[in-house]
Amino acid sequence: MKKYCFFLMSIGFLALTFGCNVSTIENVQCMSKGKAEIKYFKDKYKAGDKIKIKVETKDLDREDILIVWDGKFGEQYFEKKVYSEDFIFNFPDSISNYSGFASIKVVHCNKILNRKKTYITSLHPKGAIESYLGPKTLAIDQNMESMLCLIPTDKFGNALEITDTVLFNTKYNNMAMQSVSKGIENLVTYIKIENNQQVGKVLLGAKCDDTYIDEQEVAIVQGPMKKVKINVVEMHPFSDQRQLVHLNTDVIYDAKNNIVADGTSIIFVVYENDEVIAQYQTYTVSGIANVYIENPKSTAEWKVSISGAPQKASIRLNFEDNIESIPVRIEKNHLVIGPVIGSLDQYIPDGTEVNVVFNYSISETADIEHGFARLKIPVSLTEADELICEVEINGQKVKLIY
Amino acid sequence: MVIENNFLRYLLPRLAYLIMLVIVLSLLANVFAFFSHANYMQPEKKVKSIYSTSYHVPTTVWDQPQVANGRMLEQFDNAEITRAYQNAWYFLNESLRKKSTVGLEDFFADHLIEEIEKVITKDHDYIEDRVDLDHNIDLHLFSIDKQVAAFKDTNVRIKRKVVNKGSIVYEEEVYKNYEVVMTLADGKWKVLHLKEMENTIKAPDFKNEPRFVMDSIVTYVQSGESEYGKAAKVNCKTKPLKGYHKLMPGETLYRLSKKYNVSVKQMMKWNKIANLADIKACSHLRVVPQQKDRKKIVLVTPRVEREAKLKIRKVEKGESLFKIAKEYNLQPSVLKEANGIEDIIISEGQILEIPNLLEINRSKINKLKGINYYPQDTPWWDFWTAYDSKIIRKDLLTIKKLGMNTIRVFVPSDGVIPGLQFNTMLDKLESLLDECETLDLDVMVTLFDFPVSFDLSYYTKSERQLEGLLTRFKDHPALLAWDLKNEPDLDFKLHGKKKVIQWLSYLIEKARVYDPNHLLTIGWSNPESAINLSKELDFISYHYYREVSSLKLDMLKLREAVNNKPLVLQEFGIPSDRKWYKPLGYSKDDQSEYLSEFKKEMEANNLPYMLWTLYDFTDIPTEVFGHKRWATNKQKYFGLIDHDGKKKPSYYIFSPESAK
Repeated sequence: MKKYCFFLMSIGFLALTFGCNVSTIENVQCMSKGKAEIKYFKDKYKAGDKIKIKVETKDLDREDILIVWDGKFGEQYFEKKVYSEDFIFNFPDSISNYSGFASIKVVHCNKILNRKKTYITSLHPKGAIESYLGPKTLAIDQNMESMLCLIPTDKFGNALEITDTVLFNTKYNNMAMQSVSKGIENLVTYIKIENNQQVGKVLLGAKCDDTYIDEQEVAIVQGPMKKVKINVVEMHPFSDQRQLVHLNTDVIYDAKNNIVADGTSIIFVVYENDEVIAQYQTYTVSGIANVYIENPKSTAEWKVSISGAPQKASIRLNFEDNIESIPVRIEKNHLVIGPVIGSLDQYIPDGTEVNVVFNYSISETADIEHGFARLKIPVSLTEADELICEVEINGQKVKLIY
Repeated sequence: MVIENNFLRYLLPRLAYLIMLVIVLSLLANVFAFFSHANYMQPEKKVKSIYSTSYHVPTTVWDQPQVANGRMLEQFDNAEITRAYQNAWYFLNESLRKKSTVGLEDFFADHLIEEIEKVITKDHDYIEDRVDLDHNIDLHLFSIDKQVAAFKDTNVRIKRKVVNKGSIVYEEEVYKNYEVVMTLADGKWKVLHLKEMENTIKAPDFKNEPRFVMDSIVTYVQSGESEYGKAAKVNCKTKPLKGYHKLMPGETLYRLSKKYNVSVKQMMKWNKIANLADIKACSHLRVVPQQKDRKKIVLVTPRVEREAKLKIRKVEKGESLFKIAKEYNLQPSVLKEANGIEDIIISEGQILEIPNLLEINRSKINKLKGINYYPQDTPWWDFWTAYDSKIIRKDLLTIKKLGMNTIRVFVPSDGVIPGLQFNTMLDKLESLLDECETLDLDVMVTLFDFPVSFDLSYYTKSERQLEGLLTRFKDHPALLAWDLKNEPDLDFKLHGKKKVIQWLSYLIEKARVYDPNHLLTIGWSNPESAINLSKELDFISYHYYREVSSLKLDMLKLREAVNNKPLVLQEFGIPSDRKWYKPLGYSKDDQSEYLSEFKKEMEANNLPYMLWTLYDFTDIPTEVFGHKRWATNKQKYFGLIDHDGKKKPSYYIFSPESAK
């Protein structure tokens, strides 16, 4: 029993002393005295080539070695037991599919015994060329450029080498096709497309060996307007809100004398006494913009211009008084105003406001209806010795002393 | 009750015995833990595998050409592409480490993911654990519509460990070049093509190298078999023979080593000295080997380079000493001392020598008398979260009164303390440094406190923290030195020594880049561990919680092992933790006696020191020391001032008042 207890205690003590050790990643306790040299490993391969190497070893008999392929995305490991001093090792076929630098190493017992480098070149281009075009619309005279970037690849998806070239073809409106050959740098090649003087499109094509891109195009649209002139098409020069002023522009051109695109936004701005009182947005059709503006209700002097026009295009519009006469009379405690006749010998618009001040103290307001307005004279004034009525319509005043 | 069943009669006593055994073993374990090292931290808990791109922030430098093909890369696009490219590398590294393609789809084109799958799905147990540390990007093209970016990434520094079933197969550091095309697809920048190119550029030299120059001393080694190894004769009357030295009272081997340009170790070997304490006065010690066996070699030791040019500055009209000191980020007292100015008055036209900050700090190390500092109510975990500048100022004044010239404070790793924002903590550190500057106290800042990960995946995150700290404070006049990690040797057991050392080496290399003005050290938990990385550090710091009697010998051994680099005893002390239930603990008088002897010994040996610590603490954070009260309790009693704010007898050991 005593022996048994002692045994248990010993186990417990040992467990206490060593059992709690946490395992850590440390180097393997292995010292390599062997040597290895990689042979038959070329400086250059083509993508997809079979790669085999000869490894000459010394003092590695029956040892496990590791052959490592170090590619762009990391390492691939191949274990090998050495049975003879020299042996041939075949890498898997797919290992050379991807172009670029790669290295191989022979590792034994935490030691890199030999290391060699190689370069895998891409093949001839195959398949569609990856292309990136943008912007796809350029406006004239805006210092705009577009760019066509191409990344030709081989059948494994490898971008081509710096030695490869791409032929770019560009064709502007009614102009001869231009060809330019450009090399590949940093896996890409590109051309720039500048905006031309003419509205239209640029057709783009590219060729690398027997591979092509789908035809691409860049639209060249009109630039912003350069010269604008405002014309009065029709105008009733009186302050009559039932009337409209019809304005339009001459044909608007861009800097290169292209008619601006249909739908170009034109904003007419109306100023009165240098203050903006209204803005009207309209769009061009065939380079011309039209606008209809309501006449003012009272005498006014307007300036109309186009917002954003490079040259200040503006016209001045004068609206005269629309009221010919304001007859006023008193009928049974009522002040009757009318008929109020306008410039075309018609009643002024219904709803026109009439302001009346009785004896300089009492103000009343009424609206014109069918040429007349009717106001009740305040009770306090019906018995007064004198009644003075000041009548004002659209700024025009008459005075009645009764 | 009579147990009739034979089986039970057999089993029960044995069960009872087993239970007793477990209890006894458990008690033994706790006793063992109780007497284990004072500052042993909780081992890091293994974190479940997660993906977090915030841990991967490699140094990425863009060489922006003045005229780019396409268009200029604006700041916003630059940041977007950089982050996406870094994340692509992060997920590539993770896919190799975890053998999974999780996350790749957001950063790589589909055909590249297929390529990566071929690399990671091989039928073996090898795992490539790696990290990319530096990227140097040279932009070739940024398309006009901002859809395509093509660039060269040169000298990509990759650290790699290949692991098989828990063992490292090999490790290496490689520099690679790549050509990269990225495209913007569905609002995300993805790597469309990546090709490795030949690296014809030589890998950059470590930027810390220019900081060092080589000191050489001539020494001798034994060549082949020889008669060396004879014990020294002791004779006070006779003169020493040629090649021998008679040791006089008060002389040490160290002094002889300096005189004869040989190492202490060699002399011990030549004279068969096993223990330095055994050497007697009048010993005839061989100090030069015999001519026929002598092989002369030159020992080369790196040391910090001195700045060749001495800066001078003419005082202009109306300038004060304080203004000029501020201009060069110096404490006025340093400028005064360097120029032998008695008071603060300087005159127009006076020429002042502006001392080099690195040299100042070096000279300060030898005069260092310091203390490890935590406020009494908010030590360790709570120091920065409950930072109170009023309390700090009061404590710093107390430290100043104690005659100390330096404090050591600890900066935790980012993310260790929940709720503590790293930048907010740096603001508080700045406030502390400013306060110390006003009191003419120096500060040694210990970085990466509390457990951190030493995994490769943590390297870039560590570097960014280091960069944030060092670049911000590199010109602060109160800063004395950076202590890169507290007691990293305690992590050897859990993480592996090599892994910890590699991480520290990387930090040293980077720290030299981010702050060339300040000295670097590491606070090792014992003198034996302090040999690690001694060549790379500017001075050697170690902690010592042992008997006073062994202090000198251990110090001499260390000094010898580190080629006489300056040493700093960064922590020492004993707890006054005697209680009725712990009669074997130390009393306050014991503590005082211990520290008194310790101080004498350190001063006799010119050993700069930093005491652990100013205060006794009431609360010891369990996050740092665990839940075992018996193991953490003594941490409460190392201070010079007790829980009630009363000065313990040990206080007066260091107080200049007591010296009077």
